[in-house]
Amino acid sequence: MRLNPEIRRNLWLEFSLHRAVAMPVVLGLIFFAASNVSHTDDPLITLEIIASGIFFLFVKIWGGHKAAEAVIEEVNSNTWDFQKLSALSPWTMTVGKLFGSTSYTWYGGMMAFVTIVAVVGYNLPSYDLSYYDLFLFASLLLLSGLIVHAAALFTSLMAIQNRTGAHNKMRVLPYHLAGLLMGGPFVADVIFNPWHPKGHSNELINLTVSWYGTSCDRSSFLTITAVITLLWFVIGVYWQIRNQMKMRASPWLWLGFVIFWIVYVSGFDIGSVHLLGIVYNETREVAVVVLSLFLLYVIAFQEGWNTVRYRRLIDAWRTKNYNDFFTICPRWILTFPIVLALAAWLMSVNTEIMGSTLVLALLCFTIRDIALLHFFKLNTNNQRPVLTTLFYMGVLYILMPFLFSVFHFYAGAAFFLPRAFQDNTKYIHEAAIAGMAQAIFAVFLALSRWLKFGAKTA
Amino acid sequence: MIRVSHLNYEYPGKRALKDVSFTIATGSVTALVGPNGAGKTTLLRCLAAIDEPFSGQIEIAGIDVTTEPRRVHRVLGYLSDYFGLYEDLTVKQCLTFAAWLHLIPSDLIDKQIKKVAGQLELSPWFSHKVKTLSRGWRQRLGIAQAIIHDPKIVLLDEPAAGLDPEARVAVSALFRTLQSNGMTLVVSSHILAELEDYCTDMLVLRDGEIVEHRKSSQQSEEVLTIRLTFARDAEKYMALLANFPGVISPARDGQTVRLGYNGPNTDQQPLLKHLIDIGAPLRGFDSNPERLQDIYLSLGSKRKISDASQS
Repeated sequence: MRLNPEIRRNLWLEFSLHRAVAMPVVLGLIFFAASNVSHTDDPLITLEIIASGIFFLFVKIWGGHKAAEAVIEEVNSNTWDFQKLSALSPWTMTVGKLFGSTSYTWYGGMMAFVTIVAVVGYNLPSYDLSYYDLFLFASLLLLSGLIVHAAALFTSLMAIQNRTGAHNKMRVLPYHLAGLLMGGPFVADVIFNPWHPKGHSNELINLTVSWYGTSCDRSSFLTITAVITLLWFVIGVYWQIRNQMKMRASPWLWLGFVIFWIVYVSGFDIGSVHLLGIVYNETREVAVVVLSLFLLYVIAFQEGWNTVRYRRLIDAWRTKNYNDFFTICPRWILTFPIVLALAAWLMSVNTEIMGSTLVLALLCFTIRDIALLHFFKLNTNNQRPVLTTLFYMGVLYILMPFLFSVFHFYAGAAFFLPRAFQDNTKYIHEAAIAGMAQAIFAVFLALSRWLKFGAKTA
Repeated sequence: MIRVSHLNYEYPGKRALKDVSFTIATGSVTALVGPNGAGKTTLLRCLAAIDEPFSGQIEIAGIDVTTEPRRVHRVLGYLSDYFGLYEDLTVKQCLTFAAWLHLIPSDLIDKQIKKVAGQLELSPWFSHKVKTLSRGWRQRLGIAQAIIHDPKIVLLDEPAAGLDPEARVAVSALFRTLQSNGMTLVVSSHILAELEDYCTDMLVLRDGEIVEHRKSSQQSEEVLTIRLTFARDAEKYMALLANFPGVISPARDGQTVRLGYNGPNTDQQPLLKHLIDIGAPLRGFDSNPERLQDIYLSLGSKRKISDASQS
């Protein structure tokens, strides 16, 4: 069997004899020193903390950077086309990118991992933990690293779609940070894991999670969630690589992703929830509306669409080529009906008029934001449409309400931010009306921009 | 064979290829020429299934590019104008990696590398890191990577850019060898004189449209430029020349007349004999096959004239 070519190339680059020898020698010396520090009762605690720090630095920080760099470096060095034209399958490329670029960081990271697990395993009786707990802890440690890598690689692949100018160099840091952020819950759990410091364990460990009426201990639930999250990121990377190789991308994967997380989130029921100053008892419905809105924003802002894609979409519709239509269709358009359906569901079960009005206001503001994004993105001369939109959203959502609030004119503030100011829910009405007006105006702007730049070409 | 029909490609706000249709025969070497911004690179990227066209069909070796891009990737080699290399690998590692990427069986990799390296004279550089190579050697390595898997079709965007004269001769020889091995080549270049050495066909692209697709001079029997120099009275013979069988568009500049002659080289003799028989005061006669550059430039001037007449 032949080793993955991308992994082999990275092994050539990363594993010189010097580097291969230096890593265990240096780490060995560090661990030896740490295990002989005697300012605590148990010197192994120091070793465990040092090893955990090294694992975090190597796998999350350095490895995350390498994963984000895996494709961006190819794009910046103009070697990406060469790889895209290879005979490798998208899966082989996915595995190669995920483990090839991070191979050396895993080399050091695994030495730290083995040390941590050995120390925790040795201390199991004194920590009052079982081997199953150790298994979950070790799994979560590895999964958190893999999630950061897969998320960093995934976001960098998404970013390639939006690249403007073939010769503009792309930066790695934003995608590295995005990876860390997306892996955040799992990273945080490992940093502040229940085994640190000694004996701190058991409140967290003994927590139970109720999901669709089924109870599960917290660590098991978190580990299962981590596995599922990792799977989705890996599938996302695979799908992005397929896109890069110009293989047809059906929309069902994205819709499956959205529906999966809606089902996942709606499994929790935690009583009541505050949303922008309104108290809802329908936590399940609120959670899925917020989640679907979040995913709608993410896909609308991150997906690579432009005037050409819309022209092709219209062309496919006119020629009744529905297969092409759904392939080309920007995913935000497919997500929007789901958001509407969930919002309608929430409005139907919520008996408070203010609760429903807030949902309506949120929908209007969402339409405004997406129309604003189109207004800037359909302008073919705008080099940074997403950043421009985010800037104006910052002005509208933060600066304007702040200015009005300074002068205690909360109705004015509600024009730009749908929420209950000063615990007074009446402003939600103003927000809904203002949101509607702004949405209509923004859609008008976007349409006029389409007629100017999108409807015809030079 | 490459078959393109009604191909359109758009960038936001600009149509880069406009209803492009052509067919390229198996085993030919086609020069893709045109000014900067004509759409040459875009066309090559569409052919290579890297960029998806707005509309139209492309068939490469019988495979539809838009529906089966991965099958197309397997049968073609592509070298872009701004290609990159892995700077920290050695030349041999680069070629080995390229062979792995194309899933060449392990037992054939060394043989294949030797063959390609031999064709491009890369063997002495095997142990050198790419970052130490000059532009010319990098270009050769790029070409070697593109053909490591013996593709049926090779698309090369400005492959001779940065090469010294010796390397250009070597590359020309390589392209002729590849053609003789049955490969179909499409080569975009600005250096028309060099394309002439190995091209069988010429495809001229301007403002995203095909303005000419023809056999190059080596293959053509129709394009022969004859220059007649008269001692005096050249204008008297213009009508005679215009009506002579096979003569195309005689044009006079003082006592020199340039004309196209539609026929093989051997058929010029009757024209010369007739002029001498009637006592024309000829003091010079020479003929040249029309050069790619002449064809390309004449197409440019025709286009300007037609643009001017339309406006």
